[in-house]
Amino acid sequence: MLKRIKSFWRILNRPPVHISLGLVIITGFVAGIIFWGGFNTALEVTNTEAFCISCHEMKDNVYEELKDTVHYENRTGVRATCPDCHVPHNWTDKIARKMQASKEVWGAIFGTINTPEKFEAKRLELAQHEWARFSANNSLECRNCHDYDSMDWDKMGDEARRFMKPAAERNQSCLDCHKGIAHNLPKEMNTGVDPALARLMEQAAGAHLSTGETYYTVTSVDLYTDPELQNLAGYLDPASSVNLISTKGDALEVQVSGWRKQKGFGRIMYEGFGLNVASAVLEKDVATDDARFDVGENKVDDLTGLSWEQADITLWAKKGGLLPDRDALWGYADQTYSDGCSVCHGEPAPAHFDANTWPAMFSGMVGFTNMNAETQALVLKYLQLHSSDFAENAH
Amino acid sequence: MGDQPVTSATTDEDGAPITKAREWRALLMVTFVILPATSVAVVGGYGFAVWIGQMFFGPPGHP
Repeated sequence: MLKRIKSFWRILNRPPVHISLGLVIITGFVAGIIFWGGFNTALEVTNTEAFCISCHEMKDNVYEELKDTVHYENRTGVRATCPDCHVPHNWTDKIARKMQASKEVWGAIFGTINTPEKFEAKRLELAQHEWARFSANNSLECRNCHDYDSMDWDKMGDEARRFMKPAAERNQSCLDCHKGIAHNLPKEMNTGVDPALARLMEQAAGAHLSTGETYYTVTSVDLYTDPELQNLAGYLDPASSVNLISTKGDALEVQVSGWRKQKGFGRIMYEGFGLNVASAVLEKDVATDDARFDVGENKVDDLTGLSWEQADITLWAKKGGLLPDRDALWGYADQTYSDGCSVCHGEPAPAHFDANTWPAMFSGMVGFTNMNAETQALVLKYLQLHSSDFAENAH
Repeated sequence: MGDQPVTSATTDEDGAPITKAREWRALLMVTFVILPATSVAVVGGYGFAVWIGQMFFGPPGHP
């Protein structure tokens, strides 16, 4: 073997004996062309939609989802295929991506996502890879076709323009807002509870409770007049405090303390005097049953002229919705607030408004986010309880 | 010195003659097999290194 290599080297290391220089050059030239063509053809073939969907994992999932979107079929017939968005156009980054595709070859061979269930389980992770890529390069692949400078603002619908013009001024990454433009969003984002809140709810489900202690609701909790939990009395808002009086099987006897307006049916229990921060909402028959309440102090709110009373009511709730402190809830709310409310502008400090201003501000803006109802209630309460009414150095 | 004719080695180290066939085989092996394979390895290795770098330094940034 070594002898053959040595003799091979000897032939190559000296001028040829028999073959003419011209033939050597021509052979090399032709070989180079064939190689170049072959290399680029291979690169191009693996860069086609047909190649991508030759794996059923892609064809049955993301390709089907694409078919319902504007990037597949639209008024002008200009469409995007898989590599337009998913393979970087820059040569170095494209080659790096091709090498990274060895991961996908592995997946195809060993079936990492070869069933719908497996795919859905990984959807969020895979989506996050792409979102990170788009975020890092400011949605460069989108800009292969879409250009802020070429957008005709007059042709755009009013609502679209309201968002797009500021985005153009900021040269914002398209994917900041347009996630899910081509394929389905992960279930966690569409409906239902977001995973962070779900974790808090799990914690509450397993929390150990002691009577005489104060606890806080994670999400809203139904209230009943009876320990059998049959007669609905109302509900507690998220992040509301209750005092645990006793337990009976699955039911907790809780005392809700708050303030009520004396005008009207008094159905809403507020966290504090003069504050539009809801603790609980009661059914009319329960709220008007004065015998149920321990009434304390009476005060008039000068701002409105309304008379408020401090009141305690004891009712029953189902076990499993309480946590011993609100820190984790506030952590979640703060993170959600930052994430959801800083996409288009820097989010205002919670202490920028007072507690009674926040509901209007919040409901005016929350439509721009994707928070579901439970999350909204929690974030609003967080903002209210960290508003200028509660913060020390607020102006 | 420069006028002296340069001769190629007509035999290999063992004394066996370098035939035309052997030369052609060497030429074709290098141009159609060895160089292409090396090129793919070099480009692939480059891509691989960039990929590993992206794992540490994150995805490519703004142009």
